Amino acid sequence: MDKIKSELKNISLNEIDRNPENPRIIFRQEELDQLLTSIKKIGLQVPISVYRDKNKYIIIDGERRWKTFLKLNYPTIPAIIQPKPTELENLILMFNIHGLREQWDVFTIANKLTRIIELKKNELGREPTEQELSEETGLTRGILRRCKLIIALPARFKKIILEELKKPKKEQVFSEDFFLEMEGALKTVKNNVPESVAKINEVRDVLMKKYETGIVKNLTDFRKLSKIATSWKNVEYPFEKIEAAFKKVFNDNSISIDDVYKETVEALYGDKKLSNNAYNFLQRIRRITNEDLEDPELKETLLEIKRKLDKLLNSDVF
Amino acid sequence: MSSKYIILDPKLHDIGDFAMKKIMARYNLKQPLIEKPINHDIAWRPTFLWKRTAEYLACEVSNRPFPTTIKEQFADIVASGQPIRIIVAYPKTNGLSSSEYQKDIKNAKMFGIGYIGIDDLGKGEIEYGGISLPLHLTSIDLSEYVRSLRPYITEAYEHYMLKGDPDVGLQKIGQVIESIVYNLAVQAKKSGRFTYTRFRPPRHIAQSLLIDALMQQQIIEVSILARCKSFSLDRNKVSHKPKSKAEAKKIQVKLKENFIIGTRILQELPGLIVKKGYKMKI
Repeated sequence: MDKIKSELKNISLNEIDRNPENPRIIFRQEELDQLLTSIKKIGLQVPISVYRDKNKYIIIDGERRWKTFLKLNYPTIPAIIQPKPTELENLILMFNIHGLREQWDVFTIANKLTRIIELKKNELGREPTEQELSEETGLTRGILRRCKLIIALPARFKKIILEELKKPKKEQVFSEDFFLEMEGALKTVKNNVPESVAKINEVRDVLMKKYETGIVKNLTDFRKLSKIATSWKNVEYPFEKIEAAFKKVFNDNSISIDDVYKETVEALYGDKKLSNNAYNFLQRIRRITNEDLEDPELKETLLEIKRKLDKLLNSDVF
Repeated sequence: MSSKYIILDPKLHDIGDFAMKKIMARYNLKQPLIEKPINHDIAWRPTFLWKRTAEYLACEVSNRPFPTTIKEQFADIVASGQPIRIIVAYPKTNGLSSSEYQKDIKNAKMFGIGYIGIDDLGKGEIEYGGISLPLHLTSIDLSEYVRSLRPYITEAYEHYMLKGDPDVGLQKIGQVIESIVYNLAVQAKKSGRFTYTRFRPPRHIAQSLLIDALMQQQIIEVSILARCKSFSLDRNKVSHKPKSKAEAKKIQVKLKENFIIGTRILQELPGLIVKKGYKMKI
């Protein structure tokens, strides 16, 4: 983008319009109330940023402040006027200004990211890489991946998220986090046991029902689906048993993910974890020097471990 | 997203739409102005505004009965002196604890702000219509009145602030003062200290004539009787319907002033009656 020449001016509120490219579509009343109280108390600390478009000023940064000024019926608002950006510049500005400062909902970002990808594709003549998108928007690659999960959702599920976002966080049931956890898990299932999620929308409906009725209690339970899906390579669990496990989870409305996980791979993962920990411990012991052993506390702990190991290894178990 | 709102939180759009219809039906109003200012001097844009002949009726849609906007801007709105009546529309499912909710309702009533709670099915009634803000009075301290007067003061205040009938509230205060003065005259007549011949209870006599006579014969302190007379005369000036907002503003300022004067008279009158050896009777 060209170097920006800007000027500061008091602009009439009637001459200002919201930015149609602002990914943020929901401003909760609690947030406006907080800002109203603050503006009443200490005034406006940061001017809004706008650009001129025909006979209106379009907000680049400060929609919430503008709305609060409207509510307070103030006649004008201090604004920095910037040159009109291109559509892509406008979108990227939005991301860089807002996304880095406030915690945006992933849905909000995902909604506009699709358009950025499209515009960037036109500019580059190819799909932008994750690295390029991350550099342009200031978003981490992790967030970009989360956005892509949301973007890939069918419209009816996106509608559910949008409706939920209108509610205060604590009242949201099918929140973004719910979909991100569920979609993350289903992606892993699809990559490993594709047949199990052939009818993925039906699977989504079943999982949502289970979450709504409390059969699935925690969002983190979805991670157990990923563990089951990858168990053929991680803990050598038989593939046909994995398929049977998913059949249960995705077809029987009364069975929880946790129960199936316990019945199938939990113990194997437990063993693997113990084995990994023992191996890591051994690696660390190999690096212990004579100098380290001058620490009496460490020496005593190691002796205790030795005694325990001797006892264990001499028992009938081995 | 409904396009008619710019400021209102999208989750309150349905509440807004419902409240608008309800208020229009209740007061027989046309379409309101949406998120528009009352005038340049008032630092608040209500969600809906109806400019009626003798008042501005404003509706603020919020997630609670006593919203931050009203709390923050109340003093400025009152200071404008404009005849503005506010009704807050809020969702009954609002995430407030029972004590927070009760506190909000109490505050709304105390500040003369009307409210309509709307349930999940989109049903609700205007539970309190509010009063025009120039009439706003803070709560009354009953300990400043003799015990026998307290129920009357409470009733008058309830009419004035809580039932949305400030003129009835003022009328109640006036009736109590008239009754006390009348009973004072009866006692003075019986004792022979009041000799005004045209006063023949229980026959009716004009209040101003009676007070003039009581003043002439100095039955109790003349200054309080003079205030009773001026209160009685002023009270009649606020009894007609205003034809414009400017007239409504004047009438309401006067009405509030009279209510305050009336209640102050009732704080002092009983003591001055008893001081002269009479009983305080209503």
